[in-house]
Amino acid sequence: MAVTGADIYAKMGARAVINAQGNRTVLGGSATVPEVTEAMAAVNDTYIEMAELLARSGEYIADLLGVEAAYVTSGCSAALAFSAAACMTGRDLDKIAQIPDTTGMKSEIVIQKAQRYSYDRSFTVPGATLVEAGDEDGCSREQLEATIGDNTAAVAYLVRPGDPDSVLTLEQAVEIAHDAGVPVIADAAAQIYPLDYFRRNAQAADIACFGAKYMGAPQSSGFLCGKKELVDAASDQGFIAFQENGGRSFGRPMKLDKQEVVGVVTAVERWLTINHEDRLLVYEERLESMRQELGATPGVESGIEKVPQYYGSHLSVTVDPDVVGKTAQDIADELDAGNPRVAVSVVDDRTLTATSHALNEGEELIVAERIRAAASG
Amino acid sequence: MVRSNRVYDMLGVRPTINAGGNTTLWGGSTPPEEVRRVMNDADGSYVEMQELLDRSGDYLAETLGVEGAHITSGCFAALVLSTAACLTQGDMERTARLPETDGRNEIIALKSLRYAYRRSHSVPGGRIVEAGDEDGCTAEQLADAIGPNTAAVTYIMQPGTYDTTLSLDETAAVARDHGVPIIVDAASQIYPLDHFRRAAQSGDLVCFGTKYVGAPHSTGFLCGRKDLVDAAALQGFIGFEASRGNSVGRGYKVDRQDIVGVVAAMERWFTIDHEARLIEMGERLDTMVRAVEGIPGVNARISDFPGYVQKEMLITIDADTTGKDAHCVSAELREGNPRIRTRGVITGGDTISITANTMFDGEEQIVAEKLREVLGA
Repeated sequence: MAVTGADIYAKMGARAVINAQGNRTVLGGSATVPEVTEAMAAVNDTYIEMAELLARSGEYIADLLGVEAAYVTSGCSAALAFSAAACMTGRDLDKIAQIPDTTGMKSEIVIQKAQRYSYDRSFTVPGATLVEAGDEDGCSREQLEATIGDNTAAVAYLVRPGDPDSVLTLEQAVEIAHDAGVPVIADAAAQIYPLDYFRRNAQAADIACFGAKYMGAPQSSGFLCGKKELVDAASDQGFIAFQENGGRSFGRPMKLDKQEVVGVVTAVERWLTINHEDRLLVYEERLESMRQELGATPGVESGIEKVPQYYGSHLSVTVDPDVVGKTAQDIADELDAGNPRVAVSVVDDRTLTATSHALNEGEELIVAERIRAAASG
Repeated sequence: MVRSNRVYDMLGVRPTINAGGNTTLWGGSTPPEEVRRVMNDADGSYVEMQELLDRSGDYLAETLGVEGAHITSGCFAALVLSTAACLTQGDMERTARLPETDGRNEIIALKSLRYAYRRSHSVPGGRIVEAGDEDGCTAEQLADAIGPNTAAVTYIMQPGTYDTTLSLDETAAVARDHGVPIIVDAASQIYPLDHFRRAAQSGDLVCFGTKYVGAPHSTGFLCGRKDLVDAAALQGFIGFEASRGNSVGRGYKVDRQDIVGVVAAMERWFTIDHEARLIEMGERLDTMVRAVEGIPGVNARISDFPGYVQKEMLITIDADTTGKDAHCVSAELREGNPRIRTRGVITGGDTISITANTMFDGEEQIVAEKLREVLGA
């Protein structure tokens, strides 16, 4: 019998997961798509000048996205940390060596209070401090203008669907920041579809950061892109620049394999050329199979919902605890404890969701059967 | 093996024959078939990353005879996370504040052992305090440098003995007497195997790169005292959740394939026939030495090379006879087709060093021919 990933993990005492949660880091983030797997395998046995590979891969991605420059990183959080560092140090070698001590540098990053999120930690890692503009409910133009000051290194913006009108749009934030002569860092991690939206996000700010796992590259990969001057300053913080600038760069630990760099290039190129309608149709067909499989389970209702994300839709499963005798969390726990382990997302006591874009073919039926069994037993 | 492939061609980057070792600048490593196979298998299934990190850590700890271990995105990342562990000792408040500290942020380093990777201690907010002088350090000098703000003592393990500088064991003893943990950079101290184990057991936190054992380039681990290993893991990209979004190493991402690759590479390293490995490298060096023997103005020989590589080829060039100096020869090799990277010109300025551990079968013939051509045979 062929060895599977599950066997490898079992040998080590870890259990494989059927992933109906999506590209989550805690579950391993991504399974590389065949084109990427193949391209990565092809470069395993060839050494390369990494500086040259990073420079050329950046140019290639920049051309694809219509921006001045790009730089491949070990994920989106790394890209954010590099961006913050770039806005504080520029290309000044002394400052690059000095961070996270930011004495003598502009070191404040302004963020709308309504957009605070866990990954804004990435900005403080290289020594920046966050300064909030506006309040929990939103931020006006005047509030953002008033918060930007002499010590502002950049404005940070989290690109995501569904922010209320009271939150400034990316375009508004960029306009205000630029009027004040301050660059904008956009965290557009998974904002990669539709493709014109992806390009707009890449082009709108001075630096935009993306995770490449969402496009089928390895989980520990991503990139930043935007204005050449800032992208160059960001790459100065990286693990290869470290080897060439006398050991100054704070980003030395955020290491990448040559295979991963090639994987990112391949994944971005593929993402911009595949038939996305077909891609989304596959996801939806899997969800439909799950829905049908769950169809007649007492106390369980399920429906496919459109979501404003690159995967397009998910299955929402509502359980009636009075009929089923279990909450959505109870069911998710059973799925997690069972064999094979299945990961779904719990929304509230009565609702869980399952996505299909990180499933292998056929796993959708296992997920549905397991939900049904848990809800019936 | 240098061969053309689509992505390198598309990007216009030129592969290189690597006659210079596991250098980060050229891509670090090419995992052997056994390692790649399990990595590919692991790519096909998702897994709870926390569980995988825990179990892989257990495996490494058991193999090396230490309390705990944690896989990282390379040795430098291991050093940063180790430093962060000593600065925070698992405390959540301190974790959230890094790179700011409460003042207990001093990392004591021996002045006579200065090297570029010391930057790893300042990245998460540590401050280097040097003990002793350029020529050495006594136990008294080290003890004097340790104070109430000392978070750790650090030591770089490298071949060669320094009579005037404290040994690792002596340094560890002083640190222990003062109740201060010691962080050891043992990056490539992986052979002989008993030396590897002794190195792993030599400090409270000991850091290794695993590209040297045939795992992917961007991998490594830290190991040692369980409480400190746990505190270091909390600073990592998966520790980000357990630390409520505060870990300093969120950008230091590792793929599950990489983790499985480290385990497979370590298993292999502890079971392969190292004598055969060294004989094979020696034969490649012999081939290249024979090829250039007798060329006027050229003296080629095999010399002892400390560590897991054991032997290097040295080519001393008399520029007056050959008409070009060592730098010129090195540049011609780098610019030629195929591109060849050596360890470069070593101290003295007239000698090129070549190692064979990162060369593929048959490449020694290509390098031999090229050397003859460039040296004017």
